[in-house]
Amino acid sequence: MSPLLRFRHLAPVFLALRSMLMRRARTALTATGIALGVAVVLAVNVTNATLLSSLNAAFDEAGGRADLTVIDRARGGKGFESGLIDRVRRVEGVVAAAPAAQFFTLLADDLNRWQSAISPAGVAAGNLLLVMGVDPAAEPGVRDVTLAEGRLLEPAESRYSVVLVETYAREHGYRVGDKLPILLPGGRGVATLNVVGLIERSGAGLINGGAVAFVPLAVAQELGERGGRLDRIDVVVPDEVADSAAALAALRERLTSALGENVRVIYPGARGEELSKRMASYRFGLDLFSLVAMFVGGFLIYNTFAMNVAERTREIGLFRAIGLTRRQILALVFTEAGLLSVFGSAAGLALGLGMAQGMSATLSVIAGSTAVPMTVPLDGFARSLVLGLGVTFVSALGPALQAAGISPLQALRARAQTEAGTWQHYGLRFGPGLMLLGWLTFNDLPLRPSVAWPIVSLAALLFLLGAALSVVLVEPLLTRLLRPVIARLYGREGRLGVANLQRAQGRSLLTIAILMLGIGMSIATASLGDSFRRDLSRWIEAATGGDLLVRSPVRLKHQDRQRLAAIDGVQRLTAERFVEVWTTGMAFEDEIMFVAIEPETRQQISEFIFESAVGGSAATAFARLEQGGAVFISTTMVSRYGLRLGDSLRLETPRGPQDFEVAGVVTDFTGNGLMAFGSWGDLRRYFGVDDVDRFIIQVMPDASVTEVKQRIEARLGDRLNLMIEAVDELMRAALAVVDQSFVMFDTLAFIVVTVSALGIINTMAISVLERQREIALLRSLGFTRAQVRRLILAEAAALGAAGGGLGLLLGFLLARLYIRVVQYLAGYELSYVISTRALVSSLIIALVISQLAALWPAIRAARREIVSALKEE
Amino acid sequence: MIDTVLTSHLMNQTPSFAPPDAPVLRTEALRKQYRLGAVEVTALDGVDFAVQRGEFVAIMGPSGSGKSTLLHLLGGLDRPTSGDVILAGERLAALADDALSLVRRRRIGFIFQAFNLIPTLTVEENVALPLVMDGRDAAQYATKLETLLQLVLLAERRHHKPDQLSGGQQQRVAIARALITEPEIVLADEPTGNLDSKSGTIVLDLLRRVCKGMPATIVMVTHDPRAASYADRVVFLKDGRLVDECRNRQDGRDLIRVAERLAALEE
Repeated sequence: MSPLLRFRHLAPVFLALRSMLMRRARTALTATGIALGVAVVLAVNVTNATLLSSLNAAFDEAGGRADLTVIDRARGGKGFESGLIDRVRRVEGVVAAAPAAQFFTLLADDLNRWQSAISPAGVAAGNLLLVMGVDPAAEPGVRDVTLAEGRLLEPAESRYSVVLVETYAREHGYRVGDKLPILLPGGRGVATLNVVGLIERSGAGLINGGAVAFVPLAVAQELGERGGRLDRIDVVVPDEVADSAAALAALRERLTSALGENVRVIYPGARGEELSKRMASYRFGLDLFSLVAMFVGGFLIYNTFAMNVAERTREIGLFRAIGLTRRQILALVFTEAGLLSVFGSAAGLALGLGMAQGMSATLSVIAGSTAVPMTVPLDGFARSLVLGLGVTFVSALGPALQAAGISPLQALRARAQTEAGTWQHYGLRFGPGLMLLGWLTFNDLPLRPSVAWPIVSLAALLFLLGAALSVVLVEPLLTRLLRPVIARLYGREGRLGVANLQRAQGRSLLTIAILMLGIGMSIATASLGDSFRRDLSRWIEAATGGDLLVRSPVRLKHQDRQRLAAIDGVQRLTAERFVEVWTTGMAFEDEIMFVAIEPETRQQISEFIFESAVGGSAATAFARLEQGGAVFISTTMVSRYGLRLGDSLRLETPRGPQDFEVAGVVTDFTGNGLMAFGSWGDLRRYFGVDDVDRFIIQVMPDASVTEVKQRIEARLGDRLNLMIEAVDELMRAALAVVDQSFVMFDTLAFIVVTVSALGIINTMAISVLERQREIALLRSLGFTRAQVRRLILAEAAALGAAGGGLGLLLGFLLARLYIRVVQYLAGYELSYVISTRALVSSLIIALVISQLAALWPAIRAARREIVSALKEE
Repeated sequence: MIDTVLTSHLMNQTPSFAPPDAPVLRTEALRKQYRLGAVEVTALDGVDFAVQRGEFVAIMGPSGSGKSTLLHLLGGLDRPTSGDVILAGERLAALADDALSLVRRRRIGFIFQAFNLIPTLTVEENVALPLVMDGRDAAQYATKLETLLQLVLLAERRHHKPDQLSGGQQQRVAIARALITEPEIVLADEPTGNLDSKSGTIVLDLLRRVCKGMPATIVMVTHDPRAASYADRVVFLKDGRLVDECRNRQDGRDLIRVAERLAALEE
């Protein structure tokens, strides 16, 4: 006896399985649609989690088990007194405290391999080594290390001993007992350390991505010219305090008041979180894409089920005739949906993990962090699975209800056909309204970024749903416009093809909508990318004026300018110094970048892109900057703090809180975009700093950039550990990074287009299967095989043109919305660029995909034997 | 062969306790109107009609006379505009969809012109489908299934799919499926319409034998006088009304008589 008869309770499963096996091609297409949707969501989740955990790990591990960290109040200052460690330890509730002094440098033999990376995310990459001076006696209470080889630093160790991370040592070819030469800050030559031990790349070994060297505290203070000062104290408190937010905050208060004005007590995770915010716009973009991909995927699944059910109307009618209740029909359809979603989701999870691996790798390149083991968040896993199953079921709901709702007689009589009725009903009624609602929500986001995401996603869904429903409004007009074109291209068969589309309106609408969404998405994506690219390029070109960029991993002295200026062919140069500083007394307290420039020389060499300027011109703005107590702020700062020209920005300088007048608003994409440019005078006055991060050199008009570069290298290169880059090359590199960082967006857009391509293949195949008889009838009336093929291809072309055309329109609107949302959530002010490249390619893709999708069904339909097809019901 | 199978089948039958003269199926002033665009079409116009248990009735009439509509209403596939169908004492018009489905599933067997087998299921599975869908344990009906498969001469093809069978064979599967739940009535809609004359004869012969041997009550719509001549009684429909009726005596002249009456209606 067959299993169907033996296990009657599983009857729906057997029936569904049989039906899926019989319609293998469509089963595969549907499962693939589900799999793609699930995969995108999982991949995005995993990538986000991996990125966050890698960023957080780097910072959490620096603090080790620390619950609080004491740092210099004004960053960029010279650190704080060593004596503070005793005051920290005396504060009630402090279990352990470990001091550290640190500086970044390079291995001496790494100098020529020094890499710098510019990234839109603003995370500095490169191979800088963090030298961290620690108190070996205090370490075990705070940071975890696992010895791999040799020994750890010993208490009271004062020799030039160093402990490296195993992986870093291996990459650079150092072993226990070797000498490690490092560059000293300020161009003071090279110091040699003795490698006494290697630790595993875990715990504290994760600091700075493993590029960390632990030395005795005194050694770091000496080599880094910290003069007996500390950069941080990591504090461990009892578990019960750490577990209570209130108790920890109270202890933080006690520490702050015990230690005085010069230090700041922070939660160690905070910097990791700060950094992860910088990636927010990327994560947001990814989330939005996964949402839209899910929508398109869901639409495809809906489409498939609607067709599936339509095609099986007769079969369902028969089931009803032999006495199946509506509920039993629902059960049958849902069982099939369930099986499909289980298969599809399982495949999607596997595919998603694979995609995540690739995306994490791309992201870590963008973020400039080393690739880390993939983190698979359990909730992300669950979420994508639930989405896969959920979307399938929701998609199946409509068709299932429709199927169950047909009277048996209707079903038995019916030739399979998808009803356009419901669509028309809802489309005319709600389509434009939903679109408008989504649009307005996007344009008047009233909420703060933290709560805006649910609203943005809802608005996005409303907008897309509205757009899909509105297809019914424009479709008749489109087909009327297309008829003469298709007729011209495909002849009489073309005319018949367009007529067929109008007849099977429900099916045509679905296909057009899917194509429209896919094309619209890809255009919007490409346009967002192009907007970023254009603004970034514009900024890179403006901001990196001059011809040569001279830097050193160990900072230059201001006096070095004379030596550089004296070199043949150097026309003029200007200096820059970056200082991290906290804002205070503002809407938010953030760590921002204060960039000291020399206004006079700077405006001769490179430009700023001013949004607005005091006195209305760049010259007056620069003049105001020169006077001191003024800054240019980035547009990102404007949107975050709501500052305007003439307002004050309060910064926590080493000299105490200081107000700076906003003298200009400029476009800047450096770092997270939180930038304030001030004068060199203010740098000295308020930050007590006079060294230089980089000089921008302009070469004499008649001099060769390469020759000047060689001259500088020969004269000063070794002495000052100089890194000289041609601005041209740098700009190209930067633009390449920009391009690279949009690869992922392109990939996602491609996936969405793939999903919609699958949708078209699906609908074309079904549409042909549905009409075997009709096609046979045409053949019996004398249609040749070629004519049948042309008829089907003409239909597909009409669908492609309609979907592509509407996709263009949707793309225009969607691009606007994307840019608006990125502006709002990430603070970047982007100009609206419509990617013509994407416009053209999308339209071509729409036409090509639709023709390719129709090819196989067309050939198959033409090949069918007339008599057997005529007999088919 | 068929007779021996039927006899063995009969011995397992529980006797029916319904009074022998009460009709198993009857209609009361059955009306059905359709709306075709702006036009109201009356397909059935007050039909009163009864079928006795064990009777084989053929419904004939010219195209558009309402014979298919009548069959659909009798089978609970469609609902009357007014009037009622009473199947073994149960009024169908008042039943909710689920209850009506149950009636179709347990008390009515359908045979369609287009066979309407489920293409994904084997012969055996198609026959047992109504039982499975009724949540009954098919294993308990193994003997019955076997009997029916032998009755329709398809025991050897039980594992075949419909597309591996001829039209006549497919229709025999449909007959077995219609009988598996031992329905009060079997409704056949042009059962020979898609068959060649030889296959048609086999199917009609089978229906007749089933009717008399099991016994089963059969109502068959047809426009073929030869098919109608297999019935005990032929009713004639024209413009939605019963206009004539004749009893067959199962002799050679039945066919001629039926054909003459039909021809008269079509004039």
